[in-house]
Amino acid sequence: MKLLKNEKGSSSILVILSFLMLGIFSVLGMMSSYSDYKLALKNASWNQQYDRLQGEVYSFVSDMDAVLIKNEDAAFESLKEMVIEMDDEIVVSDILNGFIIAREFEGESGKLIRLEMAYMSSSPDRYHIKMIKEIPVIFTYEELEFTDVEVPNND
Amino acid sequence: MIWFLKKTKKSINNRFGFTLAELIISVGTLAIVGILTIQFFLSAKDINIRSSELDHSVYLTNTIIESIKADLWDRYPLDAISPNSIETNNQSFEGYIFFNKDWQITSATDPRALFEAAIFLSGQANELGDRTLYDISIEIKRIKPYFRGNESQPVLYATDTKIYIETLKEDLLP
Repeated sequence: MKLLKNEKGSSSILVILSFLMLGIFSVLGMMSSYSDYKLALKNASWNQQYDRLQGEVYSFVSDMDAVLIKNEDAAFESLKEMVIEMDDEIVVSDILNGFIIAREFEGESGKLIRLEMAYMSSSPDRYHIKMIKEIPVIFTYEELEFTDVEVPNND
Repeated sequence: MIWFLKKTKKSINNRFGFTLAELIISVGTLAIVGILTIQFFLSAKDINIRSSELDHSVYLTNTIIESIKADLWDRYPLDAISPNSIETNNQSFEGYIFFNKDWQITSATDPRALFEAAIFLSGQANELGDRTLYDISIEIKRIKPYFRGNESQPVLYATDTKIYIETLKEDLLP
């Protein structure tokens, strides 16, 4: 009741507080949208790196295609030898009636793409891409130490 | 009512007031704080628009690349390409797609057109097979500048890659 009859106002404090709130919320809004923008930029950069790396993969597939078409009539084993000689990083593994050509491509930022192509001597579609897949990069935390903690015995 | 009249009379007779300097300082301070606050809100809106457009550009670019790989020239978004030049002899292609502010397809002559996706393909046909390794370059551009932007036609997103697809024929293209 005493407060209701009080004729002293505090309009200045009210104005200051309302402007302060406006200021705080505007800064918060801007920070939020800026972090959103940074995330969008990061996503764009990842996509560009992936595209570049995938370009390398398709370039390799094209080279491989040329070798396989040119030597279509070659003996199975000699064709395999030719594929192995093409690149040091190629891994060839045997399967029934054919072989799998595998190679990993690494980008500037450590991004890794694995390509697997299958060559089947008996199939009408003799070689085809089995897989183009981005491999998650394994990393370890640096300077992370675990300490032994005593477990209390509740018995 | 009597209480109100008494209060009004009291406040009229009150000789304590604000000086002109005090008023100018307070109004000036509030104006500066208000302008700063509005600036922050406008920047937040501007950055939001930029990030949303960048995200959409990346998505659109990926859709275009995957559609070309899958040979979907008769479906969205490739069916809307207005080819500028197709040269099947030396294997080059240049085409544009236009979008309005809601990223819906429109034409180059539409005054509401806001985004332009430029697609460039160039490659050397593999003599042995029916497939070609193409260098593909996609650039998404904003035709009109941002509200407080410096560039007249800012590039939102651009990417270069290679694709190994069936050699383009003129009847394949829209």
